[in-house]
Amino acid sequence: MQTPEEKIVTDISAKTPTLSTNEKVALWNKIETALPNTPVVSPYSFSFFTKFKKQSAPVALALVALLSTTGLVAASEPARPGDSLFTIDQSIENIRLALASEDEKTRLEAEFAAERLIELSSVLEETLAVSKESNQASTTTNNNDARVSNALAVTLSYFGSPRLSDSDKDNLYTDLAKILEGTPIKLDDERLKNINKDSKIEIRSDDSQNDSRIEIRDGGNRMRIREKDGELKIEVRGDWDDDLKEEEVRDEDRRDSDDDEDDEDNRGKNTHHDDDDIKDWDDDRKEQNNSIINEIQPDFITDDSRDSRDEDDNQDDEEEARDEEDRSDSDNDQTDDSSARLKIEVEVEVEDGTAEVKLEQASGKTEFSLPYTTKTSLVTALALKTGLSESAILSALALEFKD
Amino acid sequence: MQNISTLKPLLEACKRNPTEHFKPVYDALVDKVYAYVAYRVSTKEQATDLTQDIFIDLYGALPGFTYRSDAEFYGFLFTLTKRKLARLYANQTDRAAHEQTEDETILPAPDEDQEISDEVERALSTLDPETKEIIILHHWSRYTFPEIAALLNITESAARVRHHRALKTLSTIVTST
Repeated sequence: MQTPEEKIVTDISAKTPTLSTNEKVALWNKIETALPNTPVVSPYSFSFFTKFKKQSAPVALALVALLSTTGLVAASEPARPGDSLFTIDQSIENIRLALASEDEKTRLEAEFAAERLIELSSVLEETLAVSKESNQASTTTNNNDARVSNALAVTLSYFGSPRLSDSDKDNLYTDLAKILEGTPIKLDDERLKNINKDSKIEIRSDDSQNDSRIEIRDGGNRMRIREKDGELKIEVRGDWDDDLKEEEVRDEDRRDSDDDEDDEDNRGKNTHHDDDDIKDWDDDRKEQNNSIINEIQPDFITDDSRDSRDEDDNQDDEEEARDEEDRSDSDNDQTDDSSARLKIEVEVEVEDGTAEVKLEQASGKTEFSLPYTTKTSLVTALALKTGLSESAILSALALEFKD
Repeated sequence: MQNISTLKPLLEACKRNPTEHFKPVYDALVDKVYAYVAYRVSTKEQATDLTQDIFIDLYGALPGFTYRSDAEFYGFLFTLTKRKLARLYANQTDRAAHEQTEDETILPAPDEDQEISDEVERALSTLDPETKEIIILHHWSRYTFPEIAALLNITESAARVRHHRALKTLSTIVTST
């Protein structure tokens, strides 16, 4: 005897829709005929690209092209460093780089670096306009300072690409100098960005001295762009300075020719001094940074204002010394102070993983610690910290290791 | 209705060589799929066509499916089925027409049990849709309660309780009539 529940179950089961064997065979025949050659997208897969892996690259390109003409990506295209959409702009550039051939990548990186320069120029124009509106003609507001600083850092980061040729980099730095020329730049904090072991980009500012600088180092080569009291100066050392040096030599040759025509007596004297300068420059090249330091030390010492500065401003003094060296009256200073230029002493005691450094030079004594324990790393760190060449430091280094 | 102990060997063989091994998968699943689809559509022709489309989709989607359990595979199949039904419903403006003409071809040919069957149909129509789906999935498509719980995203105990209460309701309705 079935219970009511068992009976209803029997009744429900009896009503189960079924296909007969022939119907199943017929249905299978229809299915088999209609089976596709390519799989359909899984209901659990929402990825278009899993189905079209081979076609994904052109599809991605098409999407980028489509998106580039409308919407957020198009809006981000004119974004500049510091803008909220700039990240998207960079992402699109990265996609373009990833999909490009090697040759195309080189072209794109040069193009992107040039774009950063244009954007930097735009940022500078805008910040200066804002400054004028706010009656701060010579300096920008704090926010604008940060924005300019950021834009500069971003722009410079694009210049370090190994794909860019030397001529490309030269052109970029030249363009950068033109953009920055005459522009009062005031950075509100210190920024330091290491690109790799041998290279760095450093942006520093000193409000008290109204002094800001950007320094780029790559091995023994260095470029420094400095703004002080509204005046912009650019210094290049090492191989980067080849073109500059050749140009200076040509200019001096031209001046010599003019002197020949104007004054025979003075010509010999001037030529003698010019030749000495060129010879000194060649010696500098041979002795590298050590000679450069020796050249600048006399002026460095004669700077009366140095006593009031701390040790970090030693590089400032070097800079000023080199500037003064460019003047015609620098020869006497070099002669008078030749005895002082050699006065560099570096004593280092390494103990418990820390190097205690005592640096004595013309500007005075300085003591500080460095977290390095090997001679090589110490010399490199000292060179970076003091602005002196590694060879100059090595020649004056007294290193002692304590257990 | 073919009893399926486990679908794993069938599905793995089919994944390796779909052309050769899809027929056993079809044989194992056609009754389940057809029974559920027939309950959801209005005519036997629609049910057959929809079943055909579901298996074609399954053939294409299986290479992307990784077997872990029968219940998970049934959930996969159920999703394909729902997707097909949703497309069909999107093309049908009047779902009520299905209810009115439901027994046009699905119901067995009239016989001495016709009166009882009609009573069962009427009783089933009194249930709420999800409870009715539990009854259909369990008694027509032969899904177990754990499998139903996975398909409908409810707990196994909830499926059992609602099934038990539904049977009591149905028997009460049928007995009273």
